[in-house]
Amino acid sequence: MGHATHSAPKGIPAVKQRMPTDPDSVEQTNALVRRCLQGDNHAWRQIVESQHRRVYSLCYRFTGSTGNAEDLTQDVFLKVYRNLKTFDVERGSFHTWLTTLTRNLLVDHFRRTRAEQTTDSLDAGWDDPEGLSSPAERIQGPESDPLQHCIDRELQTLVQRALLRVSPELREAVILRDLKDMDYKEIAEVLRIPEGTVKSRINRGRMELARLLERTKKQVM
Amino acid sequence: MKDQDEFGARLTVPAGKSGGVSSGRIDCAAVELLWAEAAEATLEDVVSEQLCAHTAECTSCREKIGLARSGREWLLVLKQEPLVPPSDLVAKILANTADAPEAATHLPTPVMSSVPAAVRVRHEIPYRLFGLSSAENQHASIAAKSTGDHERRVSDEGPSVASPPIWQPTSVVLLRRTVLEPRLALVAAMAFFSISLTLNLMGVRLTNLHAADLEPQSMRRAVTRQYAEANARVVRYYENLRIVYEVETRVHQLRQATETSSQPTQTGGKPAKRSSNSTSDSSNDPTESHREGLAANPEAHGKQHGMRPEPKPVITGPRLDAAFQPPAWRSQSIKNWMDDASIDPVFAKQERVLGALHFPVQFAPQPFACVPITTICFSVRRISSRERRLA
Repeated sequence: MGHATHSAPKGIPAVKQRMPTDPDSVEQTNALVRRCLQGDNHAWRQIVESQHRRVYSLCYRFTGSTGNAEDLTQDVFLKVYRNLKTFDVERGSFHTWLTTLTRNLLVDHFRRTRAEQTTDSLDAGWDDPEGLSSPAERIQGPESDPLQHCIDRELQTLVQRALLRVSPELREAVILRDLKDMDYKEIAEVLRIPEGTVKSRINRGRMELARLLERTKKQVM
Repeated sequence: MKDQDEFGARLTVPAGKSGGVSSGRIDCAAVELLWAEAAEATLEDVVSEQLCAHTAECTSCREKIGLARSGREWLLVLKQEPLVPPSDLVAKILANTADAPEAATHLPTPVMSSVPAAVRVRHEIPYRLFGLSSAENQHASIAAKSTGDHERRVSDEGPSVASPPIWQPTSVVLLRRTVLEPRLALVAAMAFFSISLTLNLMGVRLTNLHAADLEPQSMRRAVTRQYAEANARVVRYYENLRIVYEVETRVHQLRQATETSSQPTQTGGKPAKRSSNSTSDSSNDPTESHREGLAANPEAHGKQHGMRPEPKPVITGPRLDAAFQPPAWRSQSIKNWMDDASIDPVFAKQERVLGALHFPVQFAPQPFACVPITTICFSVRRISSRERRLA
C-alpha cells in the first residue's frame, strides 16, 4: 500500500474489519415489532429503549445540536408509532426502515431550517452531548485522566464541526457508513441511490472532511 | 463481500485496454471504485495487492486514498465515545406515543419545592407573557393528564405556582398564535380594505346604516331606487347625445343650403374669366381644378377620387313614409322645432327619418341602443367633415 501523506489523529485504533449487522439482534427486533403489532405495549417500550440511542446519535451527528436531535428523535418515534402497521416484517429490516424514516425527517428538517443555518446560534458551544451539566462533572468524567478527556472532547468538537461543514449528501452517506456501520446495500436502500453512487459519496465525504480538518490544523498550528 | 466480488470482477482488465498505467494491472478508473473499501482496508488480498502495485506508481491515486483514509480515521474519533441521549428522552417518547399510565411515571418530577416562591413566579413570567407553560408545568401537565389526578396536583401546589389550565396549550395559545400569524393578519387587513372600498364605491355609509335599512323591503326599495337613478342617468346621456348630432345635421343642412343659393350667382357673374384661365391655372392650382371637376360632374369626380357618391332614395312611396312616421309627441316636437327654425322641407324629411330611427332605439335595451346611436353619430360627423373639406 502506498504511503499516506495525510496525518491521522494519534491514539486512534487502527481500522478494523467491519462486521455486518448481527442477525440475532435483527431477529430480536423483528420479533419485538411483531409483538408490538399484536398490541403488546411492553414490546413498544422495549423498541424505544433499544433504538432511541441510535436515532438520537444519527440526529445529533447530522444536526450538531442536542435540542434538535432530541426533538427529531421524538418526531421519529412518533412517526414510527403511527406508521408501524405499514411495516412488513417479512419484506425488510426494521433497522433500515427506521433509518429511512429518520433520514427523511432529517432532510425535512434541513430544508426547513436552511435559512437559519447561515447564522450561528448564541447557544452554540453550550451543547453537551454527554448530558454532563457542570464543568466539574465534565472534567471528572468517565476518563481517568482529565487532561486526556478534555483533549478528546475538543477533538470531537472539532471533527463534529468539520462534519457539519460537509455537504449534506456526502455527510449522510459518511455518517451511515462510518458512524452507524451500515453496509453499502442498506445505505443504498435508505438513500435510494445505486451502490456505486453510495461508494463515491462516501469517498468524497471522507476526502472533504480530511481537507477541512487539515485546513483547520494548519490554521491552529 | 458480495460488493467486493462484483468489483473484483471488474478489476480484471484486459491487457492493452487499461487506462495507461501499466498493462495487466488495474487503471485509475477502476481504482476510483475501490477508494471506499481501500480506506476501510476491507479489500481482498488479491485486489489489495493489485491496488498496492497501482498506487506505488500513481501518485494521484495514492494521495486520494490517503486522504480518504485520513478522513475515515478522523471520523472514528466521534465513534470512540458513544453519545448519551437525555435521561428523560425515553419517557418523553413514551408519553408522546402511548397514553399508558406507565409513561407518566417515568417522567422526572419537577424539582421546584426548594426554590422560593418569588423566584418561581419570576421564572414563570416569560412563559405567562407568551401564553406558554414552563417546562416544569408541561411535565406536570403531562404527568397529571396521564394519571388523571391533575386537579389534586394543582391543589397541592397551592395558588402561588402559576400553572395554566390544562386546556390552555391546546386551545387559547394555539388560537393566539394562529391569529397573530403575520400572514393571517395581512390577509385580514386586505379583506377589510377590500370590503370597505367596495362599500364606499357602492355608496354605502356604515354610519348612516340603521337596523331598519336591513329589512328586506327597505333593501328592495333601495335597490329599485338605485336602478332607477342609474337608468335615468343613462337615458339622459343618450338624449344629450341625440341633441348633438341633430344640431350638427342642422348646421350641415344650413351650410349646404347657403352654398346652393350662392352657386348660381358665382356661375353667372364670371364665366368667361374662369374658362379662359382654366388651361393655365388648372395645372398649377390643384384646389381650383378640384372645384371645377366637382361642379361639372360630382358623381364621376367622387368615383375618381375614391369617395362615396351622394345617397339617393331607392325606395320611395307613401307606405315607406307612413312606416317612418314618428310618434305623436315626436311629430309635435319636430313641428314646433321646424316652425321655430323655419327650415326647408328637405331637412324636415331627413329629420323625420332620424326620428323614426330613434323611436325603436328608445325602447331597446340600453347596451344595444348604444350601437345604432353611435353609428349614426359617427356617420353624420364624417359627412359634415367631408363637406367641410370640399367647401
